[in-house]
Amino acid sequence: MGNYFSAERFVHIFPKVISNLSVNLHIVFWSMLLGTVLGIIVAVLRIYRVPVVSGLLGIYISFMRGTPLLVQMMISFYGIPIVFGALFMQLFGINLNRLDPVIFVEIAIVLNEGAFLGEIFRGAITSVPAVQAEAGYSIGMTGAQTFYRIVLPQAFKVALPHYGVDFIGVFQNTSLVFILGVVDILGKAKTLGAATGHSLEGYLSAAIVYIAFSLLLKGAFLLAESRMKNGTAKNV
Amino acid sequence: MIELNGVKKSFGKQEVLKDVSIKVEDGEVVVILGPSGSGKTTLLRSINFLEKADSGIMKFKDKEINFKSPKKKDILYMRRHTGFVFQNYGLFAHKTVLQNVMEGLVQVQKKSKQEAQSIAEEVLANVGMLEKRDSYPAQLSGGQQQRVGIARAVALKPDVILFDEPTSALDPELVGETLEVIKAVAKTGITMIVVTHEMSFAEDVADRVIFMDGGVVVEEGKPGEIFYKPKEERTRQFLSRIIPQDAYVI
Repeated sequence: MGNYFSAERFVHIFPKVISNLSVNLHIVFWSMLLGTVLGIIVAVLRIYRVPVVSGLLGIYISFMRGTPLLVQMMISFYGIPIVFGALFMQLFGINLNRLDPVIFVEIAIVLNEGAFLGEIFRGAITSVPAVQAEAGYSIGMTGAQTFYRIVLPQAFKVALPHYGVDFIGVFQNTSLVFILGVVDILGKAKTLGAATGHSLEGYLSAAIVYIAFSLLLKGAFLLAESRMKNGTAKNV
Repeated sequence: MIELNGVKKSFGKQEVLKDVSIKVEDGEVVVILGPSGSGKTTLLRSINFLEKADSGIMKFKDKEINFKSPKKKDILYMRRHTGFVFQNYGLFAHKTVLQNVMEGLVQVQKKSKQEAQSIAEEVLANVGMLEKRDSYPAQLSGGQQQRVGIARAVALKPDVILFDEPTSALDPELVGETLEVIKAVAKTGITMIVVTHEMSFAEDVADRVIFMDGGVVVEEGKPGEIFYKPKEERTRQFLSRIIPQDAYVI
């Protein structure tokens, strides 16, 4: 491979790249946490078919699913300070232009996930046969009891595999953030590459971190799924 | 005693119940017959508020409930004093047979787990499903699932059990065992309202038969009267199609 790649440089660079993994994890953690909450709200609102809200949610979901995440990040990063800048300055004395760009990235991913997870959750909830909810009511359970004890556990099981795939997708999509100046593992690899004139080692390091962590997540979700299956019948 | 007065219900423009009134005494077993679309299932579901009737009055024990504006409290009261057996069983798929029966005892009646379990086991034994207590619904035949469905309703000791075509979804060979279980429940003296197409069952078990068609009660009376001396032409037509004249009853 000539001078393009050297194991020595790779060993030297790898720890530097991996040290920025915390940035990616921070984004994944907050995006998934808030995105999941938003997704549940979206799913419930969609299921109840609230007249005006439902239509607005339809538009929101098609926008989020119909535009690339990178575009949404750009709009969030450049748009939010322009539109809400003056308001935030007045109300809270916060200069949005000075905020860590990671926050705008996270806002974009949370909104994006709200749409995707909302659809996953909605599908999972409606997959539980209505007669089981009726049976819950018929034995005198309240609506909340029926939802939490009958519908949700089964919907959870249906949603879990999709949720896992989505989770890994979000982790990989964090690689987009360096375009907005957030230095994650890929950003670090690029910076180091520019500084040393040798970029392949850095990118390979980033790739290894991505694949290792993705496999780890996949394993964790598979484990969770098999745990859930053990308690119950296979073809439910 | 449960009494319905002037119950009306429309789905969109289609009027499914046109002013239906029925009365069921304590301990009485009433079978509701009628062709599909006659409103019998809707009527049964309205009693348990699984369907919201548009208007009418329901008297149950010392309560009087207006269907137009039922209070949440009254809906829960009705559901907690009536049991419901579904055509397609409606067992909780993520719970075992035992857990299905215990769910209402523990969550609704707030019984201790031990007490709930001993009640559930006794009721399951009565329907012949104790051996399958740890199975999941998907591992059972339709007839077995329905027997668990019946056990789940009976375990809560309701004042009335409502059966919505409990054998219609079953393979013919499984109908018998399920009907035997329902008959056994009827013998305990509990009030029952049964929507069914099983004529011989109706004849054996019912104290009274109500024939519905087109959203109204056409005729009611003792099974012998309805089956062999129907007063209304519509009843006669319906029965002649279900029990053909001169047919062997096997």
